[in-house]
Amino acid sequence: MKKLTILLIIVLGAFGLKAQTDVPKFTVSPSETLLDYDQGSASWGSISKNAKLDPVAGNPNKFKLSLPKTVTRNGVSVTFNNIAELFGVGDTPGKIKEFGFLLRSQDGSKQTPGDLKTKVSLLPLEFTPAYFRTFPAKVSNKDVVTAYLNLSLIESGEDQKLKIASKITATATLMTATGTTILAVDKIATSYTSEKEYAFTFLPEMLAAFPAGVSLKDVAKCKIEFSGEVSDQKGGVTTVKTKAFEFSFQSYE
Amino acid sequence: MKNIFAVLLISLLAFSCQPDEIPAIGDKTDYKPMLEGTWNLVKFEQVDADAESKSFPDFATRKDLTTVFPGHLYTSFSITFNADGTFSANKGTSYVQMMASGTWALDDTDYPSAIILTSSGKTQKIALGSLADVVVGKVQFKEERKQVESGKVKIKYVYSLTKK
Repeated sequence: MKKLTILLIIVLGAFGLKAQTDVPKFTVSPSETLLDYDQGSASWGSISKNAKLDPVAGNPNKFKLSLPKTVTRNGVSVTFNNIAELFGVGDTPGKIKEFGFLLRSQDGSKQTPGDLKTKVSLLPLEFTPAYFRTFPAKVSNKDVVTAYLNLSLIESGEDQKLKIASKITATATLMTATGTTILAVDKIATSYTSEKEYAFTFLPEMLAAFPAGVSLKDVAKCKIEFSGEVSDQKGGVTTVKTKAFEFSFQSYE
Repeated sequence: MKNIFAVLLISLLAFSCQPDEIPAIGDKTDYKPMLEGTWNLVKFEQVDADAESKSFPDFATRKDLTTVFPGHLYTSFSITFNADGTFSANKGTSYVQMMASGTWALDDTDYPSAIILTSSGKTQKIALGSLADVVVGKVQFKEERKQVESGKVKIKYVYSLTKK
C-alpha cells in the first residue's frame, strides 16, 4: 500500500531591516509565513495544517501553494491575497527581499534543506543601492543596458584596493544559454555618475561584430567585470579586478 | 384679476427657463496634417517600468540616452511623414530601430493613439504621447517592451521630436 505523506510547507521570508542611522544598513531576519502556525509563534513541533500544499491534478509529484488562500487561523477565517500578507507585512511589502521553501512532513520526520536553500529573490519595492546593478534592472538582449559599480558598497570578498583604484574600465562578455562565450570586449571606458557609481552603457548588438554563424538570438547571458589601476609607492601599477557579475537576458517583445 | 396676473407670471417664468442652446464645440481636430512634415529626434529616454511603478528615485527609473553613445547620437535620427501617406526615416548614426520607408497611417483618425508604419507587408506600431503640443511642433513617440509570458510592460522608450 502506497504510503501517503502529508507535505507541509514552511515559507521563509527574509526581511531587510533598515537601521536608524544616516547610512542605510541592512540585516536579514528570516520569518515563517502565517500559514505555519495558528497563534503565538511558529513551532517546529506544532506546524499548522494550513501550511499543507495542494496536490496538482495529474501530477502525483507536484504540489502547489496558490494565492489568494483562505484558511482558519485561531478560529478566524483569514484570506491571504499576496506574499506580503502571507508574512503579515501587507502594509509594508517592500520589506520582503527574498523567500524560500522548506518542504517537510507534518511530524517533522522528513524535510528538505532549510536556511533559504531554495530561495527566490524578489525585485525590491524600495530602491536599494547595490554594489552592482544594471539599468533597467531586467533587460532583453535588444535593449540598451547600463551597468553600474558602486565601490562604496564593495563586498567583503573583493580586493579592497578597488576602493582606491583609478582608471576604472569594464569587460563585457556575451554568452549563450549554456555559458559559452560569444564575444568579449575589454577596456570599456566608464564614467563616474552623480550617484558615485562607475557606469558604462552598451547595446549588445553593437558591442562588437558577432562571430560567423552566431546572431543576437544566441545571446542569453552577459558577464561584466570591472578593473582599475592602483599605484604603489615605488611607482608601479597593479591592476585590480572585481568579481564577474552575471545576468540573464529576458524575453521581451 | 389676481388669478389672471398669477397665471401670466407663471407662464412668463416657465418660458424664460428654457435651456440655453449648447453652442457648437468646433470641428474635430484633424491631426494627420499636423503630423505631416519632418520631425527631428531631440531627446531619447529609457524608462524602467517596474521602477516607475514603485516610485524609485529618478536615477533608478529613467535614463537619458540621447548622447550616451558618442559618435552615434540619437539626435541624428529624423522621420518624414508625407501627405501622400508615405514616410521615410533617416536613422543617421543612431541606433534607433525603425522602418526606413513605407506608408504611414493613424490608428484612429478622430482619436489617434498610434502611428502605424507599414513596409513590405510588415507593420510597426509607434504609440503617440499627448498630442496637445503637436500644434506647436512637438510630439512624443513611445515604444513599449513587454514580457512575453505576462504581457506586462517592462521597459519604455520615449522619443521626443520637434518639427523641422
